[in-house]
Amino acid sequence: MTTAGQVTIGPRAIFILPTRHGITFALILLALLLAAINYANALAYLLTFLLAGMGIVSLLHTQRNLLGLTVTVTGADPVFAGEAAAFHVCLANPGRERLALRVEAKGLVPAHLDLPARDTRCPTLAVPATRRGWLDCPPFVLASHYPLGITRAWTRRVRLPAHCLVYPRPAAESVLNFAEAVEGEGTSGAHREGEDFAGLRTYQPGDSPARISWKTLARGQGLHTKDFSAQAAESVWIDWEQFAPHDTEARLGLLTRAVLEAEDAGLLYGLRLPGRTLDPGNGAAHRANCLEVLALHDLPAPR
Amino acid sequence: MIFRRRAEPAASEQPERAAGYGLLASAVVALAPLVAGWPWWLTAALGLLFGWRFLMLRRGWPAPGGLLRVVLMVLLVALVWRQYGTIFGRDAGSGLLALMLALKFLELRRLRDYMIAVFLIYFLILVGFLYSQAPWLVLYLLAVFVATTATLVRLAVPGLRGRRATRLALVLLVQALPLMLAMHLLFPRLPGPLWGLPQDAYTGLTGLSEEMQPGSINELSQSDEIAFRAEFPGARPRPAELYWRALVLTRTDGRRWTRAPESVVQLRRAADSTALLYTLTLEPSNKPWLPALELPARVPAGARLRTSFVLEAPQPVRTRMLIEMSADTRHRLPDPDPGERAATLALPAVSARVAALARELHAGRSDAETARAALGHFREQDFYYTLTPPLLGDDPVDEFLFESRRGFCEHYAAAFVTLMRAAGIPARIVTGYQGGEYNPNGRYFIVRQSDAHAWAEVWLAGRGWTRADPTAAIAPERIEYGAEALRRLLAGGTRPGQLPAEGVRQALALGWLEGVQRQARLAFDAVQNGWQRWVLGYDLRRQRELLAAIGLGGLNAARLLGVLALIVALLFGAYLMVTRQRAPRLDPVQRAYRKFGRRLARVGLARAPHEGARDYAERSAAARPDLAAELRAISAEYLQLRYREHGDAQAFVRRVAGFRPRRRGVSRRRPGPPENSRR
Repeated sequence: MTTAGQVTIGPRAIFILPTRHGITFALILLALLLAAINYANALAYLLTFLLAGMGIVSLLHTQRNLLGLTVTVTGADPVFAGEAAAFHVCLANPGRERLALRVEAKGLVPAHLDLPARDTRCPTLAVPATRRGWLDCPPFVLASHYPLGITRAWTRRVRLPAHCLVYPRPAAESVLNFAEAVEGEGTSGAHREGEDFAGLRTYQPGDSPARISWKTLARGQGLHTKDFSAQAAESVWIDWEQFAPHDTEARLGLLTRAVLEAEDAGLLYGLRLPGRTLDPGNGAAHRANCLEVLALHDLPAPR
Repeated sequence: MIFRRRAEPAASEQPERAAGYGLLASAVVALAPLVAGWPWWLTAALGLLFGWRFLMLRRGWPAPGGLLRVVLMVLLVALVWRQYGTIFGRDAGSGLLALMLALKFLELRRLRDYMIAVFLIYFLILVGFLYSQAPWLVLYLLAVFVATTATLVRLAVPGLRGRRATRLALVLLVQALPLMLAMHLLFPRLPGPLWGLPQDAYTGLTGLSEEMQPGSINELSQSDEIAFRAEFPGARPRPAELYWRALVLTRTDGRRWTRAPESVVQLRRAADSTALLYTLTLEPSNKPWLPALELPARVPAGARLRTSFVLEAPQPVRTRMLIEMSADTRHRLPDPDPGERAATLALPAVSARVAALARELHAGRSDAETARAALGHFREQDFYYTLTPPLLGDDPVDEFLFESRRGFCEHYAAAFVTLMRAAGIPARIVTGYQGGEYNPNGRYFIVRQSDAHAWAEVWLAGRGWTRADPTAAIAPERIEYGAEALRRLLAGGTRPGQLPAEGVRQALALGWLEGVQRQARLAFDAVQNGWQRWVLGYDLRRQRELLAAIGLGGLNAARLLGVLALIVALLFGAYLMVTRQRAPRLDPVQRAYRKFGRRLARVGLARAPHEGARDYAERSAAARPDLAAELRAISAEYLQLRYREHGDAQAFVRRVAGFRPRRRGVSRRRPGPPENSRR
């Protein structure tokens, strides 16, 4: 049963075949049967048939291990090309405990999990992000070798709409010299000339240590961050045209690198791309905006 | 996108240590029953290899290198070859299999290696059954089987440990039982082995010898091994009537007695209502003789009847056989034709003393009287019955009759037949068993190898072949009370044939403890007998009988397999039904609420998966103001019942049953897709 965004595994969506071990098991069964026939030994027959019966019964257990699970996928946090996007495949179990489940996608390391009764678990499916842009969650299957390892049940391919934004891979070496862009300043993140001290505010996690007001801390007044007014600061422009000799992807890599460095440096930075300009800004949201624009530059809109 | 292939086994492919210990333990217990039959070096090699494996697990010892393993393999195979002269067959094969398993244990790396080890253990359990099918061994190996399966479960499902793995193994086993039963009953049985079995399959089987040489051994076999059991559904015969005829020995060179070639005959008289019916459960003897109560009144299917009325199976009896038999004491053996008569009179030169004694016994007497006189001679002269007679020389009969005068049934039978032939009376030796221990728990006699007996037959004009048992003359206790009783009398220093009946009974009375022991032994034997009859004795013939009884007689093997497949499929389908019905375990309130959702979906208001009951009701109410009151009431009641757990569940169910929204126009609104990606 499929509704948007979720799939419930019905009996018709499950396939079962013997595993490689199952084929070995079948050969052993055949050898046992031959021994039983040859020695006309009733107990040998019984043992053979018991094992065969268990093989058959295990098909049922294998199927039941997947039956009724509800699958949803939550999108992954953005990653840079070259990293792995972590999609969370959430399995909701309406019934008894399910064991030794695997989430398998072609070419990926499968995720393993045990699912307690009436519980939901979200193992991570790590998908290598090779290209910038939108990365779709690849179709995957749920599979299991439960209970004897001789049978494998797997579901029809589950294709759920989940996406991960992949930023361009940042260029390897720093190309932008902010010292040129901002007169007389390094990339330390400390107070720069051209910015005005605007007062103290309470420290918040993520604030640059260079801006902590050590004096007030020493006075026992707690952690404070020195706030500088950036209004007066000169902003940097990270501009497509600066990297003219390179091709598009290389340029985007360089621009990405520049955005990261500018953000790290605590600068105000703006981004200029053909047809798109982001005014100078600073902070996580601005950085994310810039990176998204770079990621989606010149790409068709996602399906 | 780059697809990376997995080169090394992933972490999940490498079983955990606990499973390693479990596997080792399974292997050791599976091999334990086999150890007794192995040469010492094999047991020692296995001990060393398993010990190494244990230290690998415990102390992190390194696995032996590939070269060492190959060398070990070649060496051990060579040793097996040297020991058994083959690497096939039961003994050599099981030894080799055990060594392979032990070597496999030194290279357990991937899950696959572990699985193969588990499968090999299953095979070794089967090998255990080839050696013994005793009920206690079966219980033991069943426990080994469960433990091995639990190890397999643990390997396949790393999340299951210890007791839970065992429980799953047991669940699988119990669920497989009906399938096992169906396959066991219906899988077509073959009449014989697929290929010639190596002889070692039957070593250690004891049976009657085809020849007899009195005086060549000085101790009679006292094997307690069971030769057969005979169950009498009706009246039980007296022990003295139980002469189990197996072989007739006609030819002699004065020392050895052997069979004469005989043709196959047909029974002239069919069995009638006076015949004594019984069921024989024959232990494998690797001999074709079928001991039959004198005289057989019916020839069992497949068996042959020889001129001397001995029954013979087409092949040596190598598996336990169940045979329906009948005996009729009124039967008469066919009279000898001239050739046979000559054979039963033939005698190599006898000593002058023997010839003189024969003449003396025959003088002035009829043949019947002569036989009686000869038996009297044994009784009245200074003859002793002993189980440990002296060895005899070149003319054993002469030496026995005039010098040693000590012997057991063989000596007396041979001497008697020699005397008869010397007197011109056709005579021959019959061997088989006599008597047996009655087990009231199952109404059957247990006949052991120690009940083996030899007696004689003389041909008397007008009466035909007549049984004459010299042992009965010299040691009547042997016949009346059985071989075991006689042994005890002899051990107690009593001379057989001398005590009055009362004295014998006193001498044989069991002490309290012995009585209890005997009762326990008989009760246990009854269990074993039932086991053999109903479980182990299921063969081609039993299968045919069963199939005929359930109306499937006359099906060929292929059809039978078809029927079997059908039954297995039906059983599987039944399981599937049972589990499917069990799968959604919703309480009535939840079921009713689902129904509510389905009915709303039919009018275009399906519930979105993420939508709570309240939101759903509000959205639906907005879409269908005409239903709003009812919608809100139902969901409020549902929330009450479900989360506050108070309210009237029955009333709720009824209310939902009465809720039948009608479709209105084409207002088909579906919930929007959930937001589950960042764009």
